[in-house]
Amino acid sequence: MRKQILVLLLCISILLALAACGPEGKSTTNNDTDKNTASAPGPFGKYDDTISFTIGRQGVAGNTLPKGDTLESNDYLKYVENKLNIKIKYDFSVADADAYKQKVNLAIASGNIPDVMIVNEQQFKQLEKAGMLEDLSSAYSKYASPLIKGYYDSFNGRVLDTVKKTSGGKLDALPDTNIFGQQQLLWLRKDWLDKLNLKVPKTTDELITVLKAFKTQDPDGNNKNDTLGLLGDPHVFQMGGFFTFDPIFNAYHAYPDSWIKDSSGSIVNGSIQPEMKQALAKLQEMYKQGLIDKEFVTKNFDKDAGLVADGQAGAVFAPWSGAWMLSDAVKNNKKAEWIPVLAPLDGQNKYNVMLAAPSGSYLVVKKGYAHPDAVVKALNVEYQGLRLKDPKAADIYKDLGVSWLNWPLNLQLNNENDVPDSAKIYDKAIQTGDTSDLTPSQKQTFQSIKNNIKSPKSSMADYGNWLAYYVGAKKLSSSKLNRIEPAFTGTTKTMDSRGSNLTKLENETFLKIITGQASVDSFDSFVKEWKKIGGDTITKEVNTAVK
Amino acid sequence: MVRDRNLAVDIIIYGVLTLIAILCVAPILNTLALSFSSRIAAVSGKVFFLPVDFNLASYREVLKDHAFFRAFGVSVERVVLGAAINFIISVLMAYPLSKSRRIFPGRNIYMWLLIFTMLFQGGLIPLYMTINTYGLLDSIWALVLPTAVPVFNIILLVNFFKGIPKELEEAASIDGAGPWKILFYVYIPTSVPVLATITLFSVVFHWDSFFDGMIYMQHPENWPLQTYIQQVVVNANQMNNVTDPSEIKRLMAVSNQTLNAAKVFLSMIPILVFYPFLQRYFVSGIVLGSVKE
Amino acid sequence: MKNKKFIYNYHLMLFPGVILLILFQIIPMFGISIAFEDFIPTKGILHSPWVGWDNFKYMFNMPDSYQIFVNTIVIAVMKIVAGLIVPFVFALILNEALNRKFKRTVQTIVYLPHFLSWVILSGILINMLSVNGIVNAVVQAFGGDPIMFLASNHWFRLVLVTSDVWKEFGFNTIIYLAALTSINTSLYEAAAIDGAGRWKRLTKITIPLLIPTAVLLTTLSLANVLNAGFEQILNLYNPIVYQTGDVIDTYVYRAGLLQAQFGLATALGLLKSVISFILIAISYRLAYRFANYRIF
Repeated sequence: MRKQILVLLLCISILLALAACGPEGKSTTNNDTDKNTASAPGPFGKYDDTISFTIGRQGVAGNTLPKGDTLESNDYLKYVENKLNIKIKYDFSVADADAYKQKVNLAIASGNIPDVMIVNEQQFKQLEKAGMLEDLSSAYSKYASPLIKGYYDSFNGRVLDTVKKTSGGKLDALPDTNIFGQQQLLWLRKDWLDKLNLKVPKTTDELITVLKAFKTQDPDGNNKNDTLGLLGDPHVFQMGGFFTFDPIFNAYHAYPDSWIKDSSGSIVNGSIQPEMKQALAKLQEMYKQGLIDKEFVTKNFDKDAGLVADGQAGAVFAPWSGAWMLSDAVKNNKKAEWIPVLAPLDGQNKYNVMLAAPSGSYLVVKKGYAHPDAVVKALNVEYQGLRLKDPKAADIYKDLGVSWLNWPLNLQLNNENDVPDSAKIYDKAIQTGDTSDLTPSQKQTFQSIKNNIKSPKSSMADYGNWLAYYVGAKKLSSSKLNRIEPAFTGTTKTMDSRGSNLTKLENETFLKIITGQASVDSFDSFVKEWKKIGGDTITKEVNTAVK
Repeated sequence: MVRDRNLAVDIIIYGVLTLIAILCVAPILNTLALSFSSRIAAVSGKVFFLPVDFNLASYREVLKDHAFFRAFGVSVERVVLGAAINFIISVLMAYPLSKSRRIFPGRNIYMWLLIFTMLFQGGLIPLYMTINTYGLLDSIWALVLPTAVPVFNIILLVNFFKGIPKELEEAASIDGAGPWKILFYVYIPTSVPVLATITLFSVVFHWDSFFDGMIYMQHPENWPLQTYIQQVVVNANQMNNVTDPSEIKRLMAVSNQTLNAAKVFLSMIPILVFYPFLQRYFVSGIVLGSVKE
Repeated sequence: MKNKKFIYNYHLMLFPGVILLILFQIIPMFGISIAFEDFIPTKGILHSPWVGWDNFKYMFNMPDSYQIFVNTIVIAVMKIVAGLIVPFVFALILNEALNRKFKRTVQTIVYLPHFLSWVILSGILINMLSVNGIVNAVVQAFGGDPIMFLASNHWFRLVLVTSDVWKEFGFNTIIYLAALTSINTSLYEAAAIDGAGRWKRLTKITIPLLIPTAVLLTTLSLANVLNAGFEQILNLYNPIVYQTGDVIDTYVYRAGLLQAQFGLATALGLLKSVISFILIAISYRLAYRFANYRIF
């Protein structure tokens, strides 16, 4: 018996020894760079001594780098390293958005975060609350390049101000910029419309007529009942989403999950307004008639895109950039002709679009990291290369279709109206033949557009670019467009803790109503439930936040 | 056996059994058929048990996918290492635990420790923090060590060891053999079926796990195969969050049902190959380990 | 003296396993205290503010809690019941087939699904159960309308239970088949001489002799009442079927890893562990009392 206790004691003592020497291991890395390294002057100045930082960020799905290169070791990274003498080491990366969220949450929970991360709003706030972030104010004002500053300035401070508000006057993150134009357009198969003698729809009812014909009158002429009406996505609505029904909601002045001012001037959530009920009733009616893909609840991007490519679908809601997906259908069938349409319109002939929150992800630097300036400079160099301002960078992976996300910092920055403004510039250049106004990256796109105009559909890459950057993007400066600014964006305390319950309730209810599993009137009990489980509290918080 | 056969009843019995057997392989055949079909045929749901528009494009594409084979390699490494550790620990723990309390007084404390750890877990987040503290993130050991003590297998083995006649051990002991010798020269050779069984369980467990790979591996290069499949095939919803035009453009080209089927099928192969060899053991292994006289 | 040397070596043999258990099981258990904290990463487990039962109170007031527990228990119980009946019946049928080669082949095939992971099977199931999938082709052949199995609260639980039974039934027949082979053949012979037909022998001899095994397995499965199958559900569900398919484990996963509500997730997990522990203790007792069987 005594021996037994002895053995146990031995176990425990070894354990404690192990546990004691374990912990500190990792946290001391990466601060090895000497704090006295003279900061090289200017936004592009090279450091004398190598500076390094570790990074955690979302990876690249289906990455297509040339053999041997990876996200963590590629020519973009080497380019940044050569230019600035900055070494970037990946702490973690994963392509799937949910899996990445997990990685960041676990890193935060264990208190062991990399020097640099790109995080979402909730995580940014959590890091902020835990005091884990370094202030970037002086690094930004001293070192950010004119190009980067220009992008932020195009939003008139809306982007950076939100961050400053969260971090109490400091700048604890560099946010990305959600440029204008992610809102969905209605894309239709023009060749189907023509074949069935239909006119381009304007109102919801006209759209229904078109969908009915697409569904039942064999628009592809193969004598099989294999065509679908409108495609859908289980998210139901989503800023910038593919196949979601936002335009139908918006035509009814319903703005799900956006914060809008009601007639009395107070801020309310769009999801629980009576307009929502009307729009849902309409969608239910369409679903019942088979005008919406019966199976949309189980679809994801892949499956929907497959239906488009297969020529089974002739009507989808997708942003201007959806053109590249649509060009897949043209690849399989040269007769396919897609057009973007601003429909359905509301009673005043307006196409309503809700503006996105200015930012969705945030570049943050770990508290105590000695060289926030190096992070800003890496961003400078990256964008100089990305926008083809530096001819040397332009040759990296040229014509290989490598994703820009392989640059080290996947923070998306651009001028707010870049998409529609560029389309206008292309238009002008086509008419005058004068390309002197174009930036280097615009020149590249313009060449592609011109190629397609010269010989349409001969190159699918050129066709896609023409359909997206030119035809689709032009729609975004239409005078029919009615831009609606949300009264509040971002999150509040209760939203962070309980918002997911509300989102879940919302999504479940809307899906059930549309698919007819619940009656339209169940919307009323949904509103009550929504208010009860936190919606009311959040609404109050939002109203105080704005005041 | 008694013989009063009734042809009608026999036909029904054999028919039902054949049907059930078919139901068990149908999904696998369907996947195999999909992997050899054209993408269009797959999307439009024309593929059942025979390939439509037979082609090898998917397999050609898989061959070019380094990530798939790297993940395959990680899984093989994990299985070899994990099953070996499981085996050693199981044998070493089961032998003393198969002794009664009279012979080995501390036995029950250990047994309850095993049961306790099987039931209570600190939860994912504390476990992650612990692994992080040990510096094991991104290391194959993070997949192998936390699961090094397979309690279920040990219980099976303990029960089997209990059934080994005491006389064998006593005889060896009289010949001067110590406990280690007895374990290696008496117990292990007489336990081949049950050892094969627990090895099969370990191999399958390690081959099939995906969740720990997702949590502990910080770089996709270190994913085991199942994690890779889960992320790339089952959970391929990345598109919903992408708003960046050039990204969307690129991702359009990636999706592919037949390619996925090929990957799924290839990842089944080791199990399909390994399983028949051990199958003849595991029935007797399980039975002997769980049903006691 | 000799005995002492043996015991010393027994401890030595257990040593590596015990060390691993302590390192990877016992030490993380201190993390359970997160359930009683407002966990702040920079402060760590030791210094985060203590909030007592707040996380549990929040959990019980959460509208989802009720649903999660109901879903978990309903799905688990359905799986347990089906998982007991199907192998039982299958073993009986298989026992009636006398051709050894045929029997062996069928056995080999039906054990197989047990060894495939849910990741793989989900990939296959999602394909098969889609509207264009093979199952709906059969439904339509019989004149039915296609069914969205994975997106219907009406069907989702049935899909979970059926696919689980499909995966495990073959494997679970092993014990029954073993019990069947241990039945003394002279019993059958005697019954045959007394003129008992096939059906009678089945109901009067085979089934009664299998009942104790079935009872034992039932008791042992009690411990699984809160295990509805995390990997299966995680890979098959979507938001529309949260109502019928969201279980404790999947909720803990989302709350903890995707929404970073560490306190809530740990509290839920702890509650589950405690209940499971009680259930296992009960089943251990029952098995011992009624079947005279010691699990360990």
